[in-house]
Amino acid sequence: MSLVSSMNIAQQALSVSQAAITVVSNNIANVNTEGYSKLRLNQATLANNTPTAGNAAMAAESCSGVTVASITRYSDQYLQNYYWQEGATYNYLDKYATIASNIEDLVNELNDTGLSNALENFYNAANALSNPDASNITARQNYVDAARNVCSVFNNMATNLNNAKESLVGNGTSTSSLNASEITNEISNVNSLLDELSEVNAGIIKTYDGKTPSAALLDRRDSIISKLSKLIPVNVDENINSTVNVTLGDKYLITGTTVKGHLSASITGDVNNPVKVDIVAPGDSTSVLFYDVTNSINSGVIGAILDICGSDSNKFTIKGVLDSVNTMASEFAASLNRIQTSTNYPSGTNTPMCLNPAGTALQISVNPMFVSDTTTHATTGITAANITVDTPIISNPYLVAAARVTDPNNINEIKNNSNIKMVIDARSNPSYYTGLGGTTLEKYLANTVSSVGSDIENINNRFKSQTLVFNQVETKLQSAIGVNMDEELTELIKYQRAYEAAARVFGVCKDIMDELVNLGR
Amino acid sequence: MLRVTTLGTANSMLNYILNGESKYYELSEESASGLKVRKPSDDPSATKSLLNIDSQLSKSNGYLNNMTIAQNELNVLDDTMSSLTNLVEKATDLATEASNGTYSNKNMDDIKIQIDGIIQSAVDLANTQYDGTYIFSGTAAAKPYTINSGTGTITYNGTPSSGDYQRYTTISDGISVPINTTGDQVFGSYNSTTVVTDTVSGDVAGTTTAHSKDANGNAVTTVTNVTLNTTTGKTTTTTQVYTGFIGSLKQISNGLGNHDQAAVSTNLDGLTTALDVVSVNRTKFASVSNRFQITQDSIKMAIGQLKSYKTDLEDADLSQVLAELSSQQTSLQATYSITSQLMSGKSLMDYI
Repeated sequence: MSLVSSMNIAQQALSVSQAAITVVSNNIANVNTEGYSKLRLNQATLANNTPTAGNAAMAAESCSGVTVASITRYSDQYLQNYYWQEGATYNYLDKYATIASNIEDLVNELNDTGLSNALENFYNAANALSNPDASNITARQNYVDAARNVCSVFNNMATNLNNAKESLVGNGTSTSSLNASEITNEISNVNSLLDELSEVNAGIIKTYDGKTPSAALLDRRDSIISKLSKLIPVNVDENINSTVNVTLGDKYLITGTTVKGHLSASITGDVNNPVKVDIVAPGDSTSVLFYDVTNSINSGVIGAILDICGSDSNKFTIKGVLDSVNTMASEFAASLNRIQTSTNYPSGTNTPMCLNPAGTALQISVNPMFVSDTTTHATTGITAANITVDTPIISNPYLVAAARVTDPNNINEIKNNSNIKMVIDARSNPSYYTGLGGTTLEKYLANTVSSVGSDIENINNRFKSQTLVFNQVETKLQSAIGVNMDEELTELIKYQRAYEAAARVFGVCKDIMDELVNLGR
Repeated sequence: MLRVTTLGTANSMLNYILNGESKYYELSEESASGLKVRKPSDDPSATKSLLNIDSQLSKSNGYLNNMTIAQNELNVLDDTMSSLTNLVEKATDLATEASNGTYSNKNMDDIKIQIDGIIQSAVDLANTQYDGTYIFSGTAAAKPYTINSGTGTITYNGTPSSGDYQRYTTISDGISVPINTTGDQVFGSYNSTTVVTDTVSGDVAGTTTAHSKDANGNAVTTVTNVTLNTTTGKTTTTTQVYTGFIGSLKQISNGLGNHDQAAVSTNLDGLTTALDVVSVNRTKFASVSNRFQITQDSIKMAIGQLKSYKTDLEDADLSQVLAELSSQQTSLQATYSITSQLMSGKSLMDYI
């Protein structure tokens, strides 16, 4: 009888060793799987409740062999949470730095093709017009062309900045542009991940045997949360049954197997803040559960997109850059329009004069140089997107007021260049501008570009530091949960030897059995 | 003790390689372009200085160009006034001779021809152009002087010196200088108007009040204290307005034509004054040229300094960058070597 139980025990040892080797094999197979947590099989002695009554021989009867007690999944919840948080920040800064670098290319005045180049050509044309003959039609044509060039550079800058913003968050008024934008794409990724997570939670419950949840499902759960935290900053709470609740700020997105809410982007109609994110009922974006949770999304890729396309003046935003460009366009137009049409400017008694259609005599100048709309000839509301030279001036360069006279009856003074002199002076004299904070246009441009550079340098530095932090956390987490080949091989050998020994015991028991059977012959 | 995992090791090594390659790439960019500031975030404060320097350089080159163009015109002006001086001196000599009482009428006729020649030369000088612009017309487009061969009037058609005649050239921030003068200041003019009076119905012959008519026969002025020619009923009054060099010369020419030496004498002073006027104007514009020269020198020096400052800010120190590049390359090679050893090196498997 004890032989049979020995054989049983040996057979159990074989099973347990095989199970252990299966676990080791699983670890080795998954050595390169991201987010895989190492598994270890724990053995335990089988207990037999036969009373021994102090009998040593009975004690031998109470040996029952070995069994698989549990399979430990190596995990560190603290490190895991830390990894998710730092991951959100890392991806936030990564996305922010990437978009910022694109914006920087749009305003990189260092490479000689931008606004400063166009302004230089404009002022050169102004100098050529003033010297020696301000009535010369060719010089006037060149001046008007140079002015149109400045306008088209402004228009392009505005278009590029607006396009960059539109491709990220739409234009704030059109639903189709929102649907084509990147944020809609990322939000639908978030919603798919939320759906997947709730399914994994359901799977975890189904396979839960009271002690050990399925390790593979737990790994899957953690991997989904990692992907989710790249996009939005989430708080994760683990329940007793190893399912998780996910919250954004203080609003539940997932409780156990139920998806409580999906994210949905909607237009605001406000071009400064074109998009807001709501929490809606899953599958029904018209049923809004929580309005405007945009402020809760302060990290992750979506957080970066929202921040750079928002209007927070403490952060680097596309709006901030566009505002500066608009200010420059508006001040450029206003200062030149004042020179073109204002009398007694800047003081004294004087009148700006342009030439008659034949170019033979002066007449009082009434046409502005720059307008926001060539149909209405409006000089208010000029922005970088709409600044343009007014059509009468384009078709007749004689309408440029190069002269400024004390007596408007002196219509023969067609080579008078006192007005163009003011255009040239405006390049260095801040008193010609009202809205630049006391500086000239080119200096304001230099300040704007430098300030953009400084903001971006700051973001890049933060990104570099965050990369180091994130890599360290990743290493620590890997260290806690990852697979080391040499360890696994050691375990393999260990269990292989145990298997061999158990098989040997089995063999010996069998030989003894044979002997027993042959005893009676 | 840090537990090392296979995946962790691979990720670590990859990070080192990527970092190393990124630094190497940055240095290659810097050495290939020769610039250490290629975008604003490379060095924001240098960017601001560079953009300001560029705009200052552009302004300075504009001023230099303005002065070059203006100087060309001033050179033409100076040549003209030098020629004018010669004319004035020659006219003075001739007129002085002619006012000498011993001249015969025939001599005076000969001198009148020469004086008239000088008048024509003076008018030609006054009508000098530079690059399509009449330099003595002020800001008007019209030719400065026209001669009416019937009345002998030499009219100045340009901007009067009381108007806004100056053409300015900008030579520095907010500083501009006029580079021209007007014909009426330098050459003067000669206007001779003849008024013919005629009777209009209601006038009484023999009275001392009569009307003059315009070309259409309409009464335009009331002329008093004139002598009515009782035969033809018309009177002729000629008024002459004469200024400057041309005015004096014309008076002298008229005097010579009338064989009136006294008239020639009284106008000699006008010629002396004309000489002074030319001299004053020549000096005035010579000092403008001087000012240009000084300003140009100072601007060129400033440009040199700005360019040197710009180089300091944006140019990469190539020897330093190349040294760093080489060192980074070595470091990268070491990383590659270690990575390959770690990944493909010994593990327990080789010993089992």
